[in-house]
Parts: sequence; structure tokens; C-alpha cells
Amino acid sequence: MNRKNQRSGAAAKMNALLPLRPVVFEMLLILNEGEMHGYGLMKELKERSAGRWILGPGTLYRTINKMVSDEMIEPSDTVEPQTAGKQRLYYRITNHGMKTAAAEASRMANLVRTAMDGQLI
Amino acid sequence: MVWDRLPCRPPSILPRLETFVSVTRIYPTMDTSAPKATGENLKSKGLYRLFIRAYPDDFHKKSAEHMEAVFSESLSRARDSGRLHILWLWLTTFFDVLLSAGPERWNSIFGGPNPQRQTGKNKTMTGKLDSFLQDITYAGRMLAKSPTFTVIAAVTIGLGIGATTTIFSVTNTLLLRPLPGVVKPGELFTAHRVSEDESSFHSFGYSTFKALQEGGATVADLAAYTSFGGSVTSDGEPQVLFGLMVSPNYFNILGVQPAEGRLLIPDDDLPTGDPAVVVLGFGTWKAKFAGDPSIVGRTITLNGRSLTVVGVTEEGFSGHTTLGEMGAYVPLLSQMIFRDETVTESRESLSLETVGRKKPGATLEQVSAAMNQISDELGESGGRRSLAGIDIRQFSNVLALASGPISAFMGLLFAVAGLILMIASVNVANMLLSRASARSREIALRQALGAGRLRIIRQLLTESVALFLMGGTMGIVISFWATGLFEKISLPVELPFSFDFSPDYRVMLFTGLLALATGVVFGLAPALKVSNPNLAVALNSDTSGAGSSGSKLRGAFVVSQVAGTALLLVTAGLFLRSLEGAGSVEVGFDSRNVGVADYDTRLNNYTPSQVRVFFDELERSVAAIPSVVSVGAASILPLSTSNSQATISFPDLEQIPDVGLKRTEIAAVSRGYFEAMRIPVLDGRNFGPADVEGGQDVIIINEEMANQMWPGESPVGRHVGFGSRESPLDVEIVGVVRNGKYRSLGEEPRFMTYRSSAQVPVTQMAIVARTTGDGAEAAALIRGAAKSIDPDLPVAMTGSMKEINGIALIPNKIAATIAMLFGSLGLLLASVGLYGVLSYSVGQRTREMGVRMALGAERSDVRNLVVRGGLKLTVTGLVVGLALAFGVTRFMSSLLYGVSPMDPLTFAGITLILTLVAFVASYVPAKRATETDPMQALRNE
Repeated sequence: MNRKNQRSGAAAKMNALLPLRPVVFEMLLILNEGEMHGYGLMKELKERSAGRWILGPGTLYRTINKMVSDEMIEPSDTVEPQTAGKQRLYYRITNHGMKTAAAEASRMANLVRTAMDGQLI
Repeated sequence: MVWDRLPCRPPSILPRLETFVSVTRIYPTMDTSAPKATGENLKSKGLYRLFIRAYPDDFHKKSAEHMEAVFSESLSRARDSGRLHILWLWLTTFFDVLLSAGPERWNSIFGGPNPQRQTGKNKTMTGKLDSFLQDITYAGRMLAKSPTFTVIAAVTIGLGIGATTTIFSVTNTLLLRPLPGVVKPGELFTAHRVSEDESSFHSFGYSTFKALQEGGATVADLAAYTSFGGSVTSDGEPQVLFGLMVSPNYFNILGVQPAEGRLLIPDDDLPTGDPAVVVLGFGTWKAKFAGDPSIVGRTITLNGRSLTVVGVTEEGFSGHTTLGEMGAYVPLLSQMIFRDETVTESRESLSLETVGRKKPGATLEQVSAAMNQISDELGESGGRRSLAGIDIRQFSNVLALASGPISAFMGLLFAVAGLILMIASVNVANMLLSRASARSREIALRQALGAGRLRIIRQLLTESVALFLMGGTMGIVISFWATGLFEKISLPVELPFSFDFSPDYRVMLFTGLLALATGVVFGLAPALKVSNPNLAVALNSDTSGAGSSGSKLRGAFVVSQVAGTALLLVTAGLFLRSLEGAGSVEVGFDSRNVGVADYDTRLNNYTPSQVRVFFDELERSVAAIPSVVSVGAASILPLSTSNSQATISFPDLEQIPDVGLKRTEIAAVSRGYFEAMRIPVLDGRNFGPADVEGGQDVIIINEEMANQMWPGESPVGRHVGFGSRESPLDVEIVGVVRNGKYRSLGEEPRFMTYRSSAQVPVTQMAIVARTTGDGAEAAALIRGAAKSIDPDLPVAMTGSMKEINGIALIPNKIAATIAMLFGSLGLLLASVGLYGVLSYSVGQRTREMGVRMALGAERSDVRNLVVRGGLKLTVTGLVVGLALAFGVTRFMSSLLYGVSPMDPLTFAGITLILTLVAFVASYVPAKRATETDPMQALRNE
């Protein structure tokens, strides 16, 4: 009973996040392929969107912080030395993040299928 | 087409979805090796750090470091790609901060992004904040929607604000920024004797200083100082060092702390100068002694004398004025280290400047009253009627004597920069007006849906302020770059100045306020204009426009731009003509092929006899060089940075009324000087071998003195008195030489007296050599000869005579360059403004043009109509601008040489240039108007 409650609580938390903002979804897709630091994410987003998503550092870290607080991603233990003796902070996707991204992907796939059924595409 | 409405296009999304749902792979992370930090990176990071202070504290603490790193990497990549990318990065960064810091602040105050969740007393507040945030977000979106408009407008404002910010940065460094190490500068004051017209400042003797030190109840303490030039030997090379002789309380009054050892104490200030001690400046310790940690207690050689280092001043402190980085500080009374004089004489021969600290709560007036009372009791001013008493001034970063001219010069540059800002802002106001006019349908729709006029105005103002703030950001970037250029200006002489013009928080604040103020002022008129359209007309019309009053406003904008540009160009033109005129001003000597090297023998502690031997031998050695045509020496060179004056009396003219004491420029020169400088002797003779110490003292005067004092007669053989009327030194005039310019090119003819360097004690002389080669080579020859006589004596100033004279023209060259640069920029902006207005007007009048041509108007009629419109605006602007220039340029007369402030050629030239540019700017849209197809134009309507 308790486990069932927990499961339904997690599902509710995930559903509350849907639909994901496109940029959040894309970031989850990127992190699903491997850990990455802030600048890497910014660059990858730009490349994957053919230059349409150019996030500044402020917007990037607002989004990252929100995703961390929503438990979709978390800082990883990977350490890479950077300039001036500082270290880059890497992020990785959490289980909750993977499930949320999968749910969003399914939602979008359903939408695409509906569009195909209606011979829109 | 449907895919365009989806966040991602299908070809990219579908394969990725499949991959995602089926497998989870870990790819190696991409290579994003960090770029190396550079100085420029550090400056930009500093600016970015300021930007991100806009975020709330918790966000800042969590993410600032990472954001900085991301920005730094983006900047490095942008640098590799060129300047346009850097510009784009700064613009997008500005937007990024604007759009993300606002909501974060909102969240930090109200705990969430949704205002509906708020209840109770916070509701009104949150509602206001929410609509403000909406305004900001909407402004950001609208600006991002038209990137071309945004970039052009931001760059235009950036140029204007950048110019103003750069000038402010320089002013900030010279006059406003508190000097490092100086504590509570508001309590400090300086004391001088001033002449009645406040045109000259005079220093104090030692006994007066000691008396003033007992300044009574209002003065906490008073310190005295005087500067000296020294030579220290470091790495085997003698190097010039500028220092201060100070009373031991000097550091205490300023609040300076030691970085090493201690500063001066009363026991150091011994007349015997034994033990002789020195405190080193932090910069000197680092640069000349490699920051030697065991410097305290070490003995160094200063001017050939051994001194024990007792301490080093704190880092950052480099003296109490911006214009003077001091390398060493020695006690006041140990100054006989630098001069072989008896103590009693040397005390009174000191020319002491003072700096004091008021007691808390005391006013400058109280200090002044106390000081003047002491001075009156001393009876100091009794015999010096020209002096008005003691003048107490608030301590400032530059010496009182220099603060007036510097403030005036910076004021001029500010006015020029302000004009360019005005022209740029008007351009953007014009762009905003056109853009807002084009949006009048959207605005009318919003009003029809219930938006109040105030709300619309606020929205439009938010857009213009955001735009101007972006321009401000650009301006700061430009000023970082421009001030860097200023710091790299090299002068032919080593001066004790080192400037850090880079913008600080004061400059940021200034720029922010300036951007805000200009954003509101120049955004208000367009906002007011378009927020009141005729709803029915605007909603029913496909075409847009703010009507004829909008055209009038646009016309007024162009007129003000042309007027501002005319004023700028006239200023620039006058400065350029003046510089051109400077080359043709008759200076009274020939500086071509002349080299100079100036030696101060006090730097190696020469005795008077050694001085004479050194300079005689140096002149002989230089004269023996085959390429040297003639050689001479002078204690003061004309049109250089130094000058000296003396009082002269005319005993044989006392029967003539009003002939009393006169002031004359004075220099001690050698026999070869007049020939080397090609100054012709017009009457009498040159100094000769018989004019030596112990014989009859002789002088040579210039023709100005001869003509004024003995009109129509020869002054040769007459006697005059040097010094006070009571005990003058009797000297005989043996010759008259041609007039010259001595202090500045613009000066009126003044009295000049030359004494023979063989008859007066000199310690510092500039050797001038005329060669068959150029001046710089001649200077090198002199330095070579001096080195062979005394390798340890450093050269105080060297270069070609042209370079030395050029120093006097530096302010004019800076003013001319800036005025020319800003003038050209103003011309460009004004022509773009004119072009924009006429293009817009042509676009609006397409139907009218079509009707005119359909009714039989020739194409040339239509073209002339448009060109006439443009020229009408230009002529109106020109009339206003030239009238302003007539009024303003007269205040520049002291900076102009050989050209009148009303120079007709300049005024006519500028009128011609502006008219021509305006014609071209009008002709292009006019030509487009003639290409209108009448039928098409009518059909479109």
C-alpha cells in the first residue's frame, strides 16, 4: 500500500512537470547521452537547434537550477580542471529525469501519430 | 509548413526519440578545453561580474561562478571570430541578464512566479511588479523580434554613450577617484598664497610653514612637501626617480600605512641629514628593487648619496596627486643631501607646498580665518602687495594650480562628447518614432481592448530605456577599449605619471544613469506621439503613420542633429586650422635638425665646479662630432614644460612715470646657444669668452623689451637691476636678439632675458645640437657623448626639439583629434538621420507622388520636391548650429593659434561640407521617389 502510494506520488510529480518546455526536453535528451557541463550544454543546444536556441549564461543556469530543484538532473562527481584553478561542474540526468523525458517523448509521439492519422503529415 | 509550428522539425526529432526510448548510452563528453585567461578577458569578466550582481543573492551564490565561466568561454570563442561576434555577445548577454534576473528577483521576493498565488497586502505590490516584469519581457521580445533595428539603435547609442563614458572615465581618474591610501580626503585641505587675480599660486618658506602648523583650534595638523628629481642606480643603469621631501607628519596626515618597515618619524627630520633615511614608494620598490623583501635597512644610492631605507609605502599609494607618481620620500630637513647649502639658508630657500587635515567639524572658512590671522601676525604679506593672502582649498586629486585648466579642458571634451550623444540619441529617437508609427495599428488595437494611454507610454518607454541600457553596455565596452588606447599614448619625455583610466563603479553608475535618463528623455517624445493616434483611422488603415505632427517632430530631430554636427565640425575645423597654424607660427628659432638632451647634475650630486666642467666638456665633445653643425646649452628651453621668471628694474628710466619692476622670462645660456637655435643677434653682441664669473654681469634681452623700454634707441650698454628694488644686481645689456615664443604658441610677445651660463650657478642644462641629420639622431649623439663623460648621470629629458615643443601642443592635438573623430561621427549620424527621415517621408507620400505624376508632374519636379525638403531642414539646422558656434567658439580662443574663433574659412567650409552631405542624403530617397509608378502607387492605396 505504502509502495503504491509512493509510485502514485512520483507519477503525480512527473505529470505536474508535463508538458516540458522544449529547451528542458532537449537538455534532458542531451544529458541522456552523457554528462555535460554548462557551457557544453549551451553549445550543444545551439548546434542541435541550428542556432535557434542561444541561451545566455543567466537563462541557462536558471533552467539548470530549476531542473535540479525538480530533481530531473543533478550535479555529477566528474571533475575537470578549468581556468584560474576552478573546476567545471558537470550535470547528469536522474532516474526521475529519464522517466519524465520518456513520458514527454511518448506524449509527443502520440501527438505525431495523431497528426499522421489525420494525414496532416 | 505545419512543422514550422512545432518546437523541433521531424527529421531531427524522430530518430532521436527512437534512440531515446530504446537505449541509453553514455557518450564521451565533448572537448571543451578551457581557453587561457588574458588581460582583456579579465576586464570583460569584471564587467560581467558587475552585470550579474543584478541576480538575487542566493542565485548569485549558487551560479555566479559557473555563469562567469560560461561567459568567459563564450567571449574567447567570440574573440576568435571577430569584433562583430563580441558585439553580438554583449548584446545577447545584456538581454540574457535583463530577462533572467528580473524573474529571479521576483521569485526571491515573492517565492514563486505566479502572482495569482499571492494574497492580502502583497497583492497590489505584486500586481505592479508583475506588470513591470511584463513590460520588461514584452520589451525584450519586441526588440529581439527586430534584431537589425535593435543592433543599429544599440550601436548608435553605444557610440554616443561610449564617447561620453570615455571622457567621464578620464575625468574620474584625474579628478574624482579617491587616491588609494588617502583616508577621509574630505577632511583634507591645501593652503597656498595666491595673487589677487588668483592666476598664480605661491609656496611658503620654512618658517611660515612652522608658524602655520600651529593652525589653532580648527587644524589637526599641517604637512609640508616639495618635490625633487633623483637618480637611483638599479641594475647598473642610472634611472630617474621623482620624489618628495616631506615633513615627517606627511604620511600621518594622509593616513598612509607602511607595506614594509615604517614611515617617517620626527627623529628622522634632522638638519644634519645623518643618519639619512628614505621611504620608498611601493611601485619603485617593486620595479627598481624587484620587491626585495629585505629592503628595510638596506642602503641605496640616491643622487650619489647613501640613504638607509626605513620603509615602503602601502600598495596603491603613489603620492597625493594624480599627476605625479612618487618613488621616494625623504625628510624635509635632510634636503641638503640634494643641495650644498647651509641649513639656515636651505630652510628658507625651500618652496613648500602644504596639505593639512581639519579637525572634525571644522569648516574651510574657519581654517582660512585661522591661517590668515597667523599670516597677518607674521607680517608676511606686508611687502608683497600683489598677494591676496592665504587661500584654503578642499584637497583635490590635482594641484590647485592645475585643477582649473584640467577642469576647463575636460569640460570642453565633455561638451563635445555630449553633443555626439545628443546626435546619436536623436537618431535613435527618430528610429523609435518611425518604428512606433509603424506599430500604431497594434497600439490602437491595444487601446481599443482597454489598455490605458499611460500603460502604452510606459511600455514604449520601457522599450526605449532597455534599448538605451543596451547602448550603455556597448558604451562601457567601447570606453574600456578607448581608455586602453589613452593609456598607451607615449610622450617623448619621462613624466612621473601613470594612469589607470579604466572605468570603475562610478563610471558604471554614471553610464547607467545617463542611459536611463537619455532613454526616458529621447523615448518620451515618440511614446507621447504614437500613444495618441486616431483609433478609427489607425484601425481602418493598412498604412501607418503618426500624421503631420510626427513629420514635424522628425524634422525637428534632423534640425537639431545638423545643428549639433555643425557645432562639432566647426570646433574640429578650428582646432585643425589651429594645429596647421601652429606650424607656421613664428617661434623665433629654428627647431629643424636640432636634438636635445637635458641633464640635471644634482642627480649625481655634482659640486658647482664639477657642473661647469661637465657642461663645458660635453659641449666640446658634441661640437667635435663631424655631423654637428653647432652646439649650445640652456637652463630653460623655449616652448618646453619648464619656465623661469625674474624681476627686473630700470634705474636709468626712473624719471619716466609707471616704470617700476617688470617681470621677465629668464634663461641661462652658453655662447653657442643662439647659433645652435638660429636666434639672430639684432643689436650688440653675443656672450663672449670674457663674460665669466667675477666680471661685469651681462645680459642679452629680446627686441620686445628693447622696443618697449627704449623705443627708437639702442639698449646696448645700458644697465638694469635684477632682483628686488632695494638690492638689485647690476647687469649690463650687451645684445638684443629676435623675439620668440617662450611658454605657448598663443602668447603675446613677452620680455625675455638671457644670462651667460658662465656667470650664474646652474645645475641643470639642456644641450642643444644642430646637425646635418634629423633631431632625434642629434639627441642620440649628445647622449652618447654624455655617457662617455659620466656614465652614471641619467638624462632627464631627450628628443628632437620638434618633439619637445610638441609637448606644449598635446592638449590641442587631443582636442583636435577628439573633435575631428566626433565631428565625423556626428556627420555620419546626421546624414543617416536625414536619409532615414526623407526615406520615411517618401514612403509615406507614395500616393501623393503618384497623384502628382499622374497629373503631369515631371520626375524632376518630384525629385526636387524631396531634395528641397531635405535641404530646408539642413539649412535650418545649419543656421542654428553656426549661430551656436559663433557664441561658443570665442571661449576656445586661448587654445587656438594663428586662427580666429570666427575663422570665415572654417565656417564656410563646414557649411559647404554639410550641405553637400545633406544633398547626397536627400538625393537617394528623392531618386527612389521618381521611380514610383503612378498607377501602381494609386492602386496600392
